[in-house]
This record gives sequence, structure tokens and C-alpha cells, in this order.
Amino acid sequence: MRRIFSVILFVTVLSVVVAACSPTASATPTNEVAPTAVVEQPTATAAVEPTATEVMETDPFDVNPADYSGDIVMAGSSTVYPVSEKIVEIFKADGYEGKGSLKLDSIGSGAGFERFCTTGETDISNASRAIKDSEVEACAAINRTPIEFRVGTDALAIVVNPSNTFATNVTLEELAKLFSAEADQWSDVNPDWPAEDIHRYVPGTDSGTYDFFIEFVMAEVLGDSGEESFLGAANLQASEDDNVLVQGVEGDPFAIGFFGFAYYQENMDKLSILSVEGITPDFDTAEAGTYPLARPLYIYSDATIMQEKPQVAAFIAYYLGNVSDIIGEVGYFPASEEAIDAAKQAWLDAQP
Amino acid sequence: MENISRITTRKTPLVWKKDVSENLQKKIRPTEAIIQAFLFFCGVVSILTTIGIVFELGKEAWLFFGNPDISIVEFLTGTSWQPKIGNFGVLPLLTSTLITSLIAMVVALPLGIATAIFLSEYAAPKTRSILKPILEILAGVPTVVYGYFALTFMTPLLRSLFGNNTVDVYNMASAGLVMGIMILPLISSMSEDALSAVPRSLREGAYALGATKLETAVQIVVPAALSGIIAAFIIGISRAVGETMIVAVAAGSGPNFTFNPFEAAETMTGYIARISGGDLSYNTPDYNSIFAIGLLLFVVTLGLNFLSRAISRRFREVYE
Repeated sequence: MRRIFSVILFVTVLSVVVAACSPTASATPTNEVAPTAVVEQPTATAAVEPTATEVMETDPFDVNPADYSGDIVMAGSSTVYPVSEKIVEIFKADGYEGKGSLKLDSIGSGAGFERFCTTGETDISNASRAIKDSEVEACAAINRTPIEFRVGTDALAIVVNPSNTFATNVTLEELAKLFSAEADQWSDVNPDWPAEDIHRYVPGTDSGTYDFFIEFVMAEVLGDSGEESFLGAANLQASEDDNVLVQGVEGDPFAIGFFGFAYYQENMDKLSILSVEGITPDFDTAEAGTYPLARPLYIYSDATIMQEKPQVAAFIAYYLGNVSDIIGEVGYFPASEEAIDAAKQAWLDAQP
Repeated sequence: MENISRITTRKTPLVWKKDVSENLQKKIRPTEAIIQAFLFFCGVVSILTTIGIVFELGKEAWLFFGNPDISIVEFLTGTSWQPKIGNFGVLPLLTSTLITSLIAMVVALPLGIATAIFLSEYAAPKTRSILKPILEILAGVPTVVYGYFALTFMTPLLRSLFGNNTVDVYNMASAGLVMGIMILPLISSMSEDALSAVPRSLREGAYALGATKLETAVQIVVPAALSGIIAAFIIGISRAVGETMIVAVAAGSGPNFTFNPFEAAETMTGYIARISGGDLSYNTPDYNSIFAIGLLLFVVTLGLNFLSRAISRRFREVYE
């Protein structure tokens, strides 16, 4: 009898212990207030003037990273990732002190906004498309008002295997068909092309690149059924990791894929790029907007975060001040000067 | 006991007896109790963990099936898996899981048993003491390394054998073959234990009847150890079904309803890994779907475990 009691007692104690240890929502450390920066923020006295940056004596976008410390958390688009990665690299090289606490994740634009607006885990969200209304609402629910900063331009690269010599140019209509359930073989799209299965390598459904392609190619040509047709197509490989797509197209003679220009630039020797509507993506056509699949790249943040965490504001200022110089190295194209100036103005407006 | 002693105490001459019974009663030692409680706790932890996992899986899967657009029949019989456009048929993921596991077992079972027979019946003790640890190193290789081994070694090999147009860059065959290599040490080491446990007298009996070494091994020792070998086989399958990294890297990242092992097709575990890699919004049917798939995976492995127990009981041969 006594033993039974002791067992029961033990189980009761145990269940209390286990209940105490039961899984709770994973806490996110990112909302802790970071140690305040040593240096005061340059105040934007001339913010009223439209070309404030040129008039001011000290350029607020000439940031010295060594003056700042504390954590900066960024996540989002895999397309913008190489740009932010490069900025992070030179930001650190220029002396930023909080070396370990600068986080950058490549998870797709949609997932980036999820973390920025819904869970509030990040300070900066990278995106290869503009923020959606639903995401702005989600942000509002946690008292964040996203501010958009244009950082560059991408030309979506449509790539095929180098052994593919039959396709060099596609029209938008052919492109939509190539990625739709309507076509199984290359010859279904263009009778001059071989009767071989089309193998499609595409970004995952939560990436901005996917959204862009659906909106500007699939929906443009096929209307509302575009997305369904895209996802219903055979031999479809989807990944958020653009290197998976590069590897796929590289090894597959009848493959076609698309992703940000930087990943093409990095793998030029292994892939062939197609021109769209007769226009090859390069600096001029992307800048002028004549390449049909040129698209803006953004980073997003929030005024309150920028004021509470001066290192975030400094990082964005540094980003805007340097991005046009380094973006070509990464494989994208600089945004127009007006777009960068507008972004700088938005930054100044966000200052207290 | 206490009742009896209470009755007996009434008679004074028997009082001494009570004293003796008290002396003989188990003395409670506090350290003993602590150790017992600790051991009990260890046992309970794994049970509670299992219950916790089933609860979490069940809860999230319930949310998934609670969605009016999703029926459990469609889930189990549909042949298209594209949550974004409302296609929730798990069959493409299930078939590719089964195909990769099948390929893995085709590699691992014969090789594993042959290795086990060699190690337990033929190898000299010295050879065995060198070979066995080497074999077990295979078990220590991280699975992500196996994944890239599949992608960068096995896939090019298959493609050079069968042609680039037949074999996709990402394909189930290479993932399955490499998975077989990964499971090999598990099967061979468990089978070897089973073979070594067969009493020596059986072998000697066989030799006395004039059997050769091979006849003894194949016709006497292996059947006697069959239950252990089958258990090893089933644990190997469970391992293959649940394996994630190899298939995530090498088998492809798009659901594809096919029975051709040279095509790319995503497995259940591969899908869960890709989706939970941070590219989906919480509380959407797509997100909840990974728990439904997880539950299905759990049911499959649990079923295999029960099967393994039932089979090893059925085939158990008891000696002495």
C-alpha cells in the first residue's frame, strides 16, 4: 500500500514539474532595447527642403560604423540577400562594433514581412517586391509603420542549360506558357523547339521573385488562372535556395528557371540567359526599364525602431549611402538617383 | 499483514513475534528510494515526450483537417500537392518516401546481412575487431554529408551510366542508394548481434552432420537468428522513412507523383524541412499541413515498430 502511495505522490510531483517545463512560445530576444549608442544622432534640421542631402553641412549618410553598437536583425528576400550581405560586410569592415549581433537571414520576401510585421522579430525587412496591404495591416496591429527604402534594381534572369541552343529569346506569352500546365514539352510552346519535357526550376511560393513572376508574367498572360496553372505544371522544382535552382538548370539539358540577376552573374559560365521580347537584361535595359522583367529591390524598416535603436538608423543610412557603389559588384543594377534620393528623404523624415 | 499482526498482538506470549516481523520488514533506505525514483523518472520522461509529441502533432493536424476545404479522403487519395492553390493530396509525397526507402532497403538488407554473416561466421576475431569499428564509422557520418555525397557523387555516376536525359539532377534513386549505405551499419551490426547470439551447440551439431561452413551459416544460423534480423530490417525501414537531410538535398524539392526513381520527387520529410525552413506564414493551411504530414509519418513509423515487435515474437526461436 505504502509503495502505491509513494508512486502516486511521485507521479503528482512529476506532473507538476513537467507542467512547469512545458513548451512555451519561443521567446524572441530581438525586442529588447539595445544598449544606447555612444554618439548622438545627427538631427535632420534641413528635412523640410527636398534636396536636403546636398544642402546639409554634415552628410547624415556618411556614417562611421565604429560609432555604433548593438544588435541589428534583418531577414527577407533571397534576391536582396547578396546586396545586404555585401553592405553588412563593409559595415563591419568599417568598424561596426556589435560584430556578433548583426543578423541577416535569407528566407523569402513574404516570410521576411511575416517576421517584421506579425511576430516583430526583425528590425529591417528585405524585399524584392513592394509590401502588400495585408502586410501593412499586420504591421499596424503591432504598431509598426513600414517605411520603404529603394536600394536597387534587379532584372529577373530567365536561364536555360548552356546546351540549349534552340531557345535564345522568348516573348512574354511564350514565357508564361513555358511555366504553365498547358505545356508539357518544349514543342508545345513553339513547334521549332524539341519534343522534350520542360523541367522547371522556380523560387518557392513565399519568395518575392515568385510573386513578381506570377503578377507580371503569369497573370498578365493567363489572367487569374495564371498562378494555378504555374503550380499545376509538371516537373516543377521549387526552392527558396537559389543555388538549388542554379544546380538544377546547370545539370539538366531541357531545364528552364528564373531568379535574380545576381545568381546568373555568379554562374554565367554554367547557364545561358534568354532575352525577353528581344531585349537582353543588362545595365542599360534594366536602368531604362525597357527589359520587361526589371523590378525594384527594397528594404523596409519602421521609424520607432530607427529611433529606439540608433544603430538600425545608422545602418540604413550607411546602406543608402553606399548601395549604389557596390550593387554592381553583387550583380544587380543601381536604382535611379531620384529613387535613392527619395529613400534618403524617407530616412530623414523618420528622424525625430 | 498488518491485520494479522494486530490480531496476534492481543496474545501477550506472542508479542516477541511482532518484534521479529518488524525487524524483518524491509527497511526503507532514503538513497534507495531516490535512485528508484530517478530510474522511474527516466522511464517516464520518454513516455511523456512521446505523449507530448503526439499531442502537438494531433493539435496542429486537427487545425489542418478542421479547415472546411480539406477532407481527409482527399488528403489520403489526392495525387497533387500544391497547398498554395488548394491541392492537398499527400500521395506524391508518400510515394516518393516509399520509393526512396525501398531503394535504400534493397541496398542495405543484402549487403548488411552478408556483412553480418561474414563478421560473425567467417572473420577471425582480429579481422572483426578491425572491421567492425570501421563499419561503424559509416554510422557516424552526418547525414547532410551523405546528402551532398548523393548529389555530387552518386547522381553524376547514375547520369553517366544511364544518360543525362534519363536521370534528373535531383532524383530519388541516388538519394535512396546513399540512404542504403547510411543504414548499412545499423542493419549489419544488429544482425551480427543476432547471429552471434545463436548458441554454439547448433553450429557444432550442423558440423557433426557434415554440413559445410556456408550451409551452417545460411541454413542453420540465419534462420535461428531470423527474428533479430527482421527486427533490424524494420528499424532500418523506419530510419529510411524518417531520413530527412539526404532526400532534402538530393531527391528534389517539388512534389511529383511518379514511380520512376530517376525523376525528382519530394518526400514527406523533405517537404517538412523545406517548408519549416522559414518560407511559409504561420497559421495558414500550408503551415498546418506540415503537422498533418508529420502525423502521417509518425503513424507509419509507429506501425512499422508494432510490426517489428509482432514479427520478432512470431519468429522467435528460444534455445535453452
